[in-house]
Amino acid sequence: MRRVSRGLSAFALALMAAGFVLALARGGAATPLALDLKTRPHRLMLFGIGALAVLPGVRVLVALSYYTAARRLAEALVALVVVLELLASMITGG
Amino acid sequence: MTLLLGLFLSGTAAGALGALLGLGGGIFLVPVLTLLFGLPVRVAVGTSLVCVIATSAGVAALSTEGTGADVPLALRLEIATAAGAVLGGVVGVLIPARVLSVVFAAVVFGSAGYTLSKARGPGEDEAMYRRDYRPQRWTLGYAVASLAGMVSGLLGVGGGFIKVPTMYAIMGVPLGVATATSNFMVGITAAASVFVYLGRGDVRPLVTVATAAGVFLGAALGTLLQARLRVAWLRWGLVVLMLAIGVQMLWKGF
Repeated sequence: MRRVSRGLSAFALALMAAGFVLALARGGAATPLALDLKTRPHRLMLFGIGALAVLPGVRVLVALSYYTAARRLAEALVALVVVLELLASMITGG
Repeated sequence: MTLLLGLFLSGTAAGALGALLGLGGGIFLVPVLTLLFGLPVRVAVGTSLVCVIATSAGVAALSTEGTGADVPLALRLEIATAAGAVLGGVVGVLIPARVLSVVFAAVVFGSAGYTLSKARGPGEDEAMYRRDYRPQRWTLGYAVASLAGMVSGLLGVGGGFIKVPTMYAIMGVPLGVATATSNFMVGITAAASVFVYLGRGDVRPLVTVATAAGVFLGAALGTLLQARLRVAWLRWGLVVLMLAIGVQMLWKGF
């Protein structure tokens, strides 16, 4: 799970950093609250933020697959319930 | 540019405190982002949710063998937290906000007192990370975790300031494990809400990335520092924080 956290965090950070640097180079600091999905820097940053946002769910999925493979079924069931709760919250809006 | 630098530094402080005390940082960040930097509340909450996940991710990525979260414990308590969040959504409409603030303040003060009662005599040592423990008092642990969920839903925070003392003082989990486990849990709690804010456009890329970058750095510093701190110092840090939050809640209640 630590490898998953490191990998996905590094990926998310790289996207956010690339978008941030590009945004600053294009004078984005003047409008820090701007949100413009048509520009590449903002899309990169939002994609990185999205990758970060799914990380907790991915960690629970990793736990679920580990417990299932190890036949720790009670813990696998708990992990499955948390995944479903998370999905339900995301779909219904928190 | 000054704004972005200020956000980065605020994020660093929030990430460090969050990693040290098992919090997501939202309890600091939302007031700082709104009062100090003048961000609209919804943007501040959206930014804070991303940063709570960043704290959780940073702590997880940097934890070493034997210092990570107790994942089975986290998942079990997270079910209770989610149930509490749903209940909070119902209760929050029926009970006046002032009454809720006073009730939560009482819970926070009680948790602070119970955490202090764990203090041992001079000369006694306490390990931050042990693996030879068994969580106890599950019923009470579930009940308080549900309450943490209610608080999370109503205040827009991760509830780590209740989860850590619950695991440490009530359930007998070593403090280092409790903070790492709480960091795992608050990440899940924040992830449940953040997509709503993303969908509404309340997550503004530049301010969020600047703050989250600081949070990652702070979480790294906090994780490294925690290994060098004594349990007593962290316990006192947690108690002071809980007292400050309790006073703030009481103030809102009256």
